[in-house]
Amino acid sequence: MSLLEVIGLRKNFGGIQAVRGFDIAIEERQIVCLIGPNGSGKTTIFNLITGLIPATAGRVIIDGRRDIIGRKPHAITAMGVARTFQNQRLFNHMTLLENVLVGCARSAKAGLASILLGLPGARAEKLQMIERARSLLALFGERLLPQADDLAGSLSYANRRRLEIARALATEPRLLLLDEPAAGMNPTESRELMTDILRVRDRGVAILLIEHDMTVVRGISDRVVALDYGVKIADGDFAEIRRHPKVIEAYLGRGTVDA
Amino acid sequence: MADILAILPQQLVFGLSLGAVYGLIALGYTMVYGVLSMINFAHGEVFMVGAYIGWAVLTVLIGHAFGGLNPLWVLPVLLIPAMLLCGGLGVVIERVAYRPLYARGASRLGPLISAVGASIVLQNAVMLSQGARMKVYMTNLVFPADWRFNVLGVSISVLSIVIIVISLLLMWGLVTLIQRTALGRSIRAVAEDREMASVMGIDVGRVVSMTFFLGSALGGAAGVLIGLYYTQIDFMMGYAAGLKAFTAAVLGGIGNIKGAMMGGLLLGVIESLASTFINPAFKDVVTFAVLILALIFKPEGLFGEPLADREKI
Repeated sequence: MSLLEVIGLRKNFGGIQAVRGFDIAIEERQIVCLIGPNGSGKTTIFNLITGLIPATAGRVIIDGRRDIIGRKPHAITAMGVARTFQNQRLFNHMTLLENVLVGCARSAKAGLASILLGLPGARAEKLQMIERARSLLALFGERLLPQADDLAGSLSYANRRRLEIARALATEPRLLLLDEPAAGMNPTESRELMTDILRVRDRGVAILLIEHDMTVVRGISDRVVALDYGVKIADGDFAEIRRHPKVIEAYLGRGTVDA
Repeated sequence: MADILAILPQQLVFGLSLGAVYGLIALGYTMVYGVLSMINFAHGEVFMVGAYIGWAVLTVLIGHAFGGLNPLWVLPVLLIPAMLLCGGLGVVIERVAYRPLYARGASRLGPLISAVGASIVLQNAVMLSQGARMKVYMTNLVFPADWRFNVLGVSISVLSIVIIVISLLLMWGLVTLIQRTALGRSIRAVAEDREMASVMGIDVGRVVSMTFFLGSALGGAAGVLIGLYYTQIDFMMGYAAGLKAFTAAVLGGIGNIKGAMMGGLLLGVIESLASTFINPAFKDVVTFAVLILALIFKPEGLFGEPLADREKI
């Protein structure tokens, strides 16, 4: 039984068919890369899976039983799906720690009254949440933790990307969707990102990522799924995909497999 | 001139208590703007309903003559029901008048018109149920008229100080909640990027409801305080007070919590100074002239940065 199963997913924007019957299955702890030219529907698929836009047709099933199509984004997050965005969307007016704590909020039990009255239970829970948030920041070594109380808006580009991942993990996902995590990173940062992603997987999280950097795709994917015009054109390991005639055709040989 | 200087400290205290109440009401406008980018023009009517609830409770208390009406217990007994019921009213207004429009993807104009409609409904509901004539708060049974004290030869009423203290306490409570609790973080997250907040597992609809509850509860408390202070209330009182508080919110920078509080205090003081030095009849002219000047020279408001960037992705 797959962790996530997408069956016949479709999305029309007016007359444009952005996604035309997309299928994918992702197993626990698997890293799957979604590749394809710009406009092939990758981000739209992310938006459909996370419930940000309604699907025209199709099913998205978690654990082989729960169909999440039609549910609200926060309910889907509660079922264990988290994501990052291609354009960074941190809460810039909050500290790093607060950004992560936003994701922890779902698990908070204490009511408003007990928080305001400072009851011991609420206080212990708060400390526990802060501890968890700090441990998520610590996933990235010394990159984020020393700046825990700085505003997120003050972070460097690569650290912003790291914080997005830490924040997404705060919702305790079993599947993490990363939208071009290596975009704008230099080769050193990309390599570091790859080890970070593998470490996240080792925590028991499956990862579906959109990525254009083929070094990253080759370095971490268990499987690669290629997309063109909203249709899956290939599904297999990196070696198969790079030789797949349809993939080469889709990219028109634009030096995508140079490594 | 010497006469004017003699009453100046008194006028300042008056301005501060009025301004603190403006600030309380302004918080409701600014919080709703923060999470929904809309002006809840029915908020002034929530304030008015709060004044009526306080009046009704006070009337019952007086009718039953519970010994002496000590403000230490009377104030909470007036404030708490007004705050809870007004908070609930705010939630209902949002559910009935705004959310159906947002859910269908209405423009910003739709909810605005709906807000005006909601305030007309509330005014008329109160007028029909309570009558069009004004109601009188028997404030002097709680705060006797001779409860005044002298500071440097200036006579100040205990009530005006109580109003300032209660307002500041409520504001402090709100700021603590926004800054330090999970709910506050969720409100800030929704204000900054509601889509991202929803993907982070925040139930945006619930956060919007809570925001309306908090803002409306403060508005209800403000209604009780103004009722005690002016002793006369009527079903139209929300219009002028709402407009002033909205001005205070814009003056401070709409969407900004601290701005709403400071804007309110500033507006109250400006108003009382204008009454003292120019002419009470011109106080509104001065108030709105200040607003216009602020909008020309500092359109984002006077204080700090907004609760969240308004740029939408």
